[in-house]
Amino acid sequence: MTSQALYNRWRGQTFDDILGQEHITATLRNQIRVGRIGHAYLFTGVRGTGKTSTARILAKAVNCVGDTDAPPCNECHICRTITTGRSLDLIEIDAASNRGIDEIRELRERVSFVPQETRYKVYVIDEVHMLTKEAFNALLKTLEEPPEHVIFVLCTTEAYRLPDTILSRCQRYDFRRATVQTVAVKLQRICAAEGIEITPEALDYVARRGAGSFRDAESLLDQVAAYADSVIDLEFVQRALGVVPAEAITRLISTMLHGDAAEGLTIINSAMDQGADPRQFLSEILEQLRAILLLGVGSQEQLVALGPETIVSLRSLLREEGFSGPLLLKAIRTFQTAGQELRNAVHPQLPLELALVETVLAQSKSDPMPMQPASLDSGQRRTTPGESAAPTAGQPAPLAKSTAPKGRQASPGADRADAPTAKPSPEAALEQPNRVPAPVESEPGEETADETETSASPPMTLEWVRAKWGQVVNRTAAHHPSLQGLLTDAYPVRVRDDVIRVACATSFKCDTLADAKRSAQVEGIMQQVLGAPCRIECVVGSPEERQSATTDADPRDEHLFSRAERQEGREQALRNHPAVRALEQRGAKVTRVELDDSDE
Amino acid sequence: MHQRKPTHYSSRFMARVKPQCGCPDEHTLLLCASGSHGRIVHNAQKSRVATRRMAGTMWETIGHEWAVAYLQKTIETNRIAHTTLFTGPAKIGKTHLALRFAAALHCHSDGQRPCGRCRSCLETLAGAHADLLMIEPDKGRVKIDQVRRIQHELALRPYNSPWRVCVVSGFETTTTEAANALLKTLEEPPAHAILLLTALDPGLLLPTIVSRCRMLSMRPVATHTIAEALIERYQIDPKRATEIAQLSAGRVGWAIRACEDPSMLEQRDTDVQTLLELVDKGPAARLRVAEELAKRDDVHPAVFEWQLVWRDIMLLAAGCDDRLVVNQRQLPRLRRLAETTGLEPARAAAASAQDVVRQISQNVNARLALETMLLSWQNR
Repeated sequence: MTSQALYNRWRGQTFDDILGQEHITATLRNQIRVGRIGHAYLFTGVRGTGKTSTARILAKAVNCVGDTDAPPCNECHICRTITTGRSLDLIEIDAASNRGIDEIRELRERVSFVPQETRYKVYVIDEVHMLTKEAFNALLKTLEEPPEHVIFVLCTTEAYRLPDTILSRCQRYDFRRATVQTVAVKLQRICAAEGIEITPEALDYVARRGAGSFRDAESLLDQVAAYADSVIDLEFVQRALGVVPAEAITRLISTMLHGDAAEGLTIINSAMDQGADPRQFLSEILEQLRAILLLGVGSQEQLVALGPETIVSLRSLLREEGFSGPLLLKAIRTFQTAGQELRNAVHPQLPLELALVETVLAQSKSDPMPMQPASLDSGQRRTTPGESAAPTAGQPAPLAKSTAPKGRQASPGADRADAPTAKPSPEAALEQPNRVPAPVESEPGEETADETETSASPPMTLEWVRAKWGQVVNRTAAHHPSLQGLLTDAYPVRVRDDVIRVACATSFKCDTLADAKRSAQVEGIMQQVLGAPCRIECVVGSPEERQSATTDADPRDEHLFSRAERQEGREQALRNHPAVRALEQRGAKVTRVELDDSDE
Repeated sequence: MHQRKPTHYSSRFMARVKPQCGCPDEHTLLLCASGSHGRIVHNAQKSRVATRRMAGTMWETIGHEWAVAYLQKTIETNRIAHTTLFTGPAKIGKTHLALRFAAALHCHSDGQRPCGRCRSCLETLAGAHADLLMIEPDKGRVKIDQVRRIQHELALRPYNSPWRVCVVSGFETTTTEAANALLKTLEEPPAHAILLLTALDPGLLLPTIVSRCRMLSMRPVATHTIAEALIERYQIDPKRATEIAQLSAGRVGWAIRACEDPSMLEQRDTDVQTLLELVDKGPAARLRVAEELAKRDDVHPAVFEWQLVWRDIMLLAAGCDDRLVVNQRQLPRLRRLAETTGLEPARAAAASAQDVVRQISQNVNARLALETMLLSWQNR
């Protein structure tokens, strides 16, 4: 009647059984050999990498009385009682169910009793991240100086949730994600012992699906083995797990490149009709997209965990016309998001369909632009000398190429176009076309170049200062955090020669910013960003004006409004000012509005 | 926490169910035996009605043959997993299958299990077996107290069966504390314990939970399978069966409910009609519809249907085959819409419905979310 899961039946019993964690098992062995056993260990790492098993082996090893140089012997009565879970001196606590301070108090009381029959009492506190804050703190003193006969082993998948005070009291061991080969070795052992017949490809596939976790892979093997009649081959595994054939997925990706939404949607629907698992389907799509990305930047094929035929057809996709880096990235991002939507989807194929259509639309949008062939491959060529203007642009350049034409239009001088095309950022697309110095976006590597350029263009305009203002605020926040609050709702309203008038939201902020030391700090930053020395002048400004300052930054729009209209707008803003309103409510009346023309 | 047999609910429930279908006696009987309360009874009871009508077949599933074969096989070969996680979209038959599996485990028959006739089977299917614990979300979530109860009950020896079985439905609603509290039990359960969890998607669970379970991912059932089953079991018109099957989008439970409860389909038709009319109308009409809709207990069905309509429009705009379209009855209208709307707006509209579902699950005001969605749809 036993139906113990494979991962339980094949739980490691000696240090040698813990595969892929040699850095930990070797250390522990040495500690035991020389007798320098710590009093508190913390085992952390992703699920199914052997934390709990190692904790139990450690408990056996420190207490083993067998005649062996490499404990645990697994033969002495102590090892056996621990293996069967009958030992009174291995106390395994499920911290997720017993997470309160009361449980820890109880533990503290019992810690002082000497062990029943072994040398050490070992407390294994599993899922320790779920203890409450109070419970953690109650444990601190005990963990720091436990009685000599006690060893604590804390196990968790989420070490970042433990307080630092706990972490600093433990010897920490990080369990690594197992490689596919290591998992396959373990599965091989299990299959041999259990009499499960499985082909190497199928075994490899199961190991890969385990994603570095022994338990995941073993659960999967368990499932497949329970279903199988005869020899388990790759096809059987894929059918049992609802995997779509790789060839269909390659076809799906090629429809994206050709902008053929109808064909792509048909592929998705027929795959779902044949019983594909949507989540699995999605992860296979992402796997192939990732493979294209890796092949495109010239990585080794070993990084791509796909069959040779698939790799060949993906390579031919890479060479096809219509393929571009931005499209690939867009596809990856879109399908990644679809994975999150899949969680709540009632119609499981819908997120996939939406993602496909979104990608196809992105493809058709970028179509009219001149598409350089095989842009990913050309990445290396672009870094060759000759194009001295793009020294740092080697990697991002090819992937961002489709936005390049926009950047070209935006910059006034066509001869300078080569430099800015290398670094189009999202903001670049939003910028106004005829602003004075065009290539001034916040790319750290390029800033020095910008500065020299901008200092050469003598008159500072309000629009330009406003465009740069975000950068000023960000830099100030980085260098002088205390000034951040003052600047976030301040904004430049006028530029005359090197004097920049900055409007603050309240008079308090205005006064504070006007303080000589603070304004000197801001001026220093502004000089760095604007590339020319300047002074600031503080005034109090209204929120309405601020809005117009940020939204109507486009200089062309300025000309659309006549001067009179603008004045009227400002007058209206003044009349609607909350302070004026408040006075009006108390019976005051606005008789005349005077506008300072110099502010224009 | 669930109390066993809260009989005071039953009369209320009978009243609510009676007008919808014509067999009140059977309902009453099943209800008393089920031993849960409130909404839970409502849901479970409906699927149980279906069960009764289909009595005779062993597992009473439509589609999912491979899943049944798999579970059957684990019983035959004695490779039963301590924890099985049934995943799949709502109304696809997860709890149904889990319950049948529990019955098979408890069944006393020497032949095929579950036999559906022995006392153990009947009790299990009614949710009243002594070795069966049914846990469902309490006020929308599975809580740590319920998990402690599971731990306690599973630690007890079985009374009348080799196994103690616990069926937890809606496991994706489990609080973080509760899920963590179950980890150790899942990893090393008592020898006689079987845990059957159902959840919408493994992505909603802790990875540490998923890695401890044997996964049974239930996929949408092919349309023709559902249609055939409906014709056979309910003797309905083949054309109508096909339509219902198509509308169900692979959700067996939905199709069954649609057959038993015609008002559901009517409601659905009205919703689709509302949408089709709304496309031509301005913001005022849309806001009114949002207001009306937000008053309903559950806005999800309507939003899902709308999403399906937009999907159809999207497929047509992309130039797909007509057969992929779900709302076959409105095909000409949809085709016209597809021409005028275009691919991108249709995609955006379908995606906006997805957003609403997510927002509502995150406690956004339903009316506000609906208004945003309706206004975002392009006016043609």
